[in-house]
Amino acid sequence: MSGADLYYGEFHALRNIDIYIPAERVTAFIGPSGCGKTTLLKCFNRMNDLVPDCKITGEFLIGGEDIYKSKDTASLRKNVGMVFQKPNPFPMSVYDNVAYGPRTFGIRKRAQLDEIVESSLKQAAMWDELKDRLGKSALGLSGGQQQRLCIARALATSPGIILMDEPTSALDPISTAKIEELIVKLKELTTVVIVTHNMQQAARISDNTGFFLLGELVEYASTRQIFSEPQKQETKRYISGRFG
Amino acid sequence: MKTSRKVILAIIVLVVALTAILAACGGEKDIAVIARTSGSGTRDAFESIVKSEDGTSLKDAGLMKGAIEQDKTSTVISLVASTKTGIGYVSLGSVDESVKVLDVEGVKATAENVLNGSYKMQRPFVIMTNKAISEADGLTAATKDFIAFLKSSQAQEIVGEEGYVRQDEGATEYSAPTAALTGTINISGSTSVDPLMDKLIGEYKEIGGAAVANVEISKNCQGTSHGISAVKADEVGNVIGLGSSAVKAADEAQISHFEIALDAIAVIVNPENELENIGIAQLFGIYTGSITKFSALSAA
Amino acid sequence: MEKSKIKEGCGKVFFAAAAALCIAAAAAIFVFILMKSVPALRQTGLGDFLFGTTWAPDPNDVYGQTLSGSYGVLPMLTGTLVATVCALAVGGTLGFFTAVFLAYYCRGRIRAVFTAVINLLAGVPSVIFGFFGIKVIMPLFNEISPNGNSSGLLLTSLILGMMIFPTVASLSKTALCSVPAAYYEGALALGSTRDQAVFRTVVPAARSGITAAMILGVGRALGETMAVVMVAGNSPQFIGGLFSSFRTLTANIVLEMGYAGEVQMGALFATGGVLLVFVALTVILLSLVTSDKKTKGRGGKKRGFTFLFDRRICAAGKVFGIFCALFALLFLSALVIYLAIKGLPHMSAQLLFGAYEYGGGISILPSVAATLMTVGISLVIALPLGICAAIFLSEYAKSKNPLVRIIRAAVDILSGVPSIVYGLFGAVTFVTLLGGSYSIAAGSLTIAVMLLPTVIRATEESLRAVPLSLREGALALGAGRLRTIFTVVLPSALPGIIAAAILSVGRVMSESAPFMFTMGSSLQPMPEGAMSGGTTLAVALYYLSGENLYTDEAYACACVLMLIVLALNVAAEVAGRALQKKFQGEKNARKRYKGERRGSLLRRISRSQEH
Repeated sequence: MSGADLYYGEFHALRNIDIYIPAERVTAFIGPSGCGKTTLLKCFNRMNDLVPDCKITGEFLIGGEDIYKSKDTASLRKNVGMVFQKPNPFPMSVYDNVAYGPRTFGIRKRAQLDEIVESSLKQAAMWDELKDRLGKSALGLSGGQQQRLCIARALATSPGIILMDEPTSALDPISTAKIEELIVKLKELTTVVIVTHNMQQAARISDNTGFFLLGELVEYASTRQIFSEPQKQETKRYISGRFG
Repeated sequence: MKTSRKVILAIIVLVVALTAILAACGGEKDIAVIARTSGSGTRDAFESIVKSEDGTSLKDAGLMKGAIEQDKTSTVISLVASTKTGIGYVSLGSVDESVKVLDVEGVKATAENVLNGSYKMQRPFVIMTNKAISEADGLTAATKDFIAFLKSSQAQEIVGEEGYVRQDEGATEYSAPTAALTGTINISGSTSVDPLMDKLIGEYKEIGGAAVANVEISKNCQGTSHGISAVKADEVGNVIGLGSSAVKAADEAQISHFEIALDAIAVIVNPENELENIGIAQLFGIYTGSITKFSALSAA
Repeated sequence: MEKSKIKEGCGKVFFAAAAALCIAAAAAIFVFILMKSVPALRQTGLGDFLFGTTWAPDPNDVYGQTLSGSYGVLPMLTGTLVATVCALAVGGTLGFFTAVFLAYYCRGRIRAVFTAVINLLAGVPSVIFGFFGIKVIMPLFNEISPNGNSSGLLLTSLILGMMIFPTVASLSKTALCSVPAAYYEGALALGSTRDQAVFRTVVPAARSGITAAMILGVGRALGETMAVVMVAGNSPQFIGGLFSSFRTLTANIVLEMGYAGEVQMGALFATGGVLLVFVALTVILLSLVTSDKKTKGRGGKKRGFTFLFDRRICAAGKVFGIFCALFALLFLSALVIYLAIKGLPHMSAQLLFGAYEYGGGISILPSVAATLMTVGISLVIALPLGICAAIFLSEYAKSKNPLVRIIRAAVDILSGVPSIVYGLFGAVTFVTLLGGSYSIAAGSLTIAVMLLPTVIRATEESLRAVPLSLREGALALGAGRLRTIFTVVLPSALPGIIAAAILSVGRVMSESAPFMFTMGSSLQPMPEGAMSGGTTLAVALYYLSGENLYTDEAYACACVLMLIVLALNVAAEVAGRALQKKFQGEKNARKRYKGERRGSLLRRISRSQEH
């Protein structure tokens, strides 16, 4: 991705961001609130399209293709899954939640759906917990389970990239640990981009880290480098907790 | 808490006191004049009959300001029943024991007195059809058959049973048509005639039997004038209008009609009222607002 | 993929069309009512019509000739205004203090009981209010009236007040409950008593919501017809005192419509036009009040009212709140007990299930059938249209778009139009369209238009309550807008939509004014189809009580109606509970978010009317 600018109306939310995100790695975005991490994340699956008055310039290339050139947001979003800050399972059964994506793309056969649901839940390490509760409402699950279900739901369309927007900020430490474990496992399958406020989390699970401030990408390097020898003064101050 | 209780207590005492004062100061209360709304056949008839001593009808003089006007017979009765100084007028057939019927000019409101003309407060129930269509013999077969029934002696039996005054003159025996009839008859008009018409339709269906089983009768009564305009607007020849006052000269050109019954208009007061009899001129005085107390009547 | 694009486009256009229909309906009402009234106004002159002090119509007046009647609505105009203000004084005070009591001074069982009382009162048909007014309250008031009869302003204000009471109470309560608990706690922490915290801190914070509730109450009082006709006395003169007979604009229409001649008819439509203008003014006022929300609340002018901060006065407010709530309870129980005593013994099998025969037994079975048909037809029309319009407003519309503003204004106006005016509108449009005679179809269409705003508001409100994250979730999985709406948003909003449907059924059951000029008002045999005339139960009640021949049956009919209203309330509550259980997790989250204490469906709907 290169030279991206994004405006919300008059507000210049992202300034000239150049970033390369390697495949099958976990990339973390950190930075203080309101610095544009989430906004950038949403550019990758064009969720910003929903925001009125939102204008985007620059190129967003996934596998060499500019995602803003094509009109087809549906297949883009099929390929780029997203997990949100708060767990948002649909008010339907566990099974229907996971099958929602595949059904959207025209898969109707029961056998095929069964298979997808099972494999997605297995990938999210939930199959054993949930295999007897597939018909129950997803809203009856605990918060951590709901969030993992949302990850399973995103996996069901077999995306190449999964975007995670502070996926553990609403969860307790035990659920957080489970999800982190899951994320590390996931990078064998897909590319993961995660926004987080938890610096330890970024350090624990990501391969590369980008630090954002006021809509600008201040520093982007391997996680080890960012956390051990940051190049920029702001980064250093932020991760050592002196501001933000 | 204590103060607030005192405040509330004070308010209650004040309200009670005010009520008492109002009630006490009242002395003899004014007559509560209760009328029907303009356009009602009952009101029309009542206002034409009630005249002052010099012959001005109530209709010309106009109802007093501030009279209570109601669009339904039942409300008039309920109001008179609950108001000690109330006076109203309704069809004799609707009166129940909750109110007292006054004699008018010393004559009791009974069927005989209506028929022999001594009870003055009376009005006809009329059946109306479109004149142009009737004279061109354009009424539908079903309508003609029903009209024939309405003119029959069997219909008059019902009229008598329901407490109205029969108009037997010219009544003939009705017999069911030989061939089965179909079609719709639309009936509209006076709400006062409505209950009687209900019974008449029932009897018609019974006597007519299978021959009239497919005749659909649709009845919607919202007032005499409504019936008159429906009859005038009739194009098919299947509209029957019900009127509860004599057809006006102005409408004669467009409407054929006959009287099916006579009805007495009963002048009603509260059962606690000691009055038994009332004169027509006194009614005029009450309804124009020049007499405001019942005591003024007994004095005169 | 092209196909799905087309589908999305069609969907949007379809929803927009449904919403635009509301503008069309509101416009049509104005156009038809004005069209019918212009000839009469031309004949009488607008000034003489509005400011003339005598109303003495002559049914024989025709257009183009000199008028022999006079057509001045000023006495009725003032009558309507004064009655509305007085009704607001009664109903507004009662409603406000009851709301305070419900929101802050009671909990658990007691709160549930009083909430049920308010909901039930809201569902009582106005004919029953009027009935109760003349049979029970009038004899009491007669004792203090100078002419021995109490038809007039005092009685009308009380009855109207009790009719707007549930609206004011439930909306004010919603406003009070949505004040953040932190305000209340903050005031307590500063050493206020509970009463002071409520009256000094919470009430001012909820001021705009309470004002909106009052204005809606005003709208209801302006448009009320059937009850007013029974208790106002109806003499077309200026109000002369608490007990002098007077007439309102709505009463004028219902009283004279059946008898009206040509010019008179036009003048009655013009009366409806005057009412419409008032409604439009109320709506504008309402939108001004609610849009002021942000700037308000920092009253510098309150200084004169510092005595209100006194502890004892606030305590008195609490006591008065309890008193008001008890009064409402008393009123409802008196009403229910009275109807039960008078009606239950007459609920015979013949009346309920017998065949209706001319001249034979009276039966309300045909009315039950006609009511069911009306409910069915009107819901089939109003629900899909209303839901689609609501989808457009909540999912597609951008709030700054002028078209959307017009649609919202149209919905607001539609919801404020008096039911009698809907009746007039139905009589000149649907009745004429369907061949000129009264029919169930015409009545159903009329009430369907009337239901639209209720359905739209309730649905829109429940759509808005669906968390944005659910929509994002579906979109992020590649679902299109349509699919998101139909598979995720609508199912989540289902409880609210069902409540809207139940509310609509209740409305159809209890309205009578819109049916009298569109479906007919005489009891009839079993309807043979949608094109035959019929009477709904409320109209049947009005008819049965008409000639004083079937009074017992009328009471029984009123009982049946009340039982149905009760059943609907229970059904709403049960449906709400069941669905709540189903969506428990999500519901809980939402409840916390909204600061609501109990997730009652009807409350959510009533909140929707705030907007």
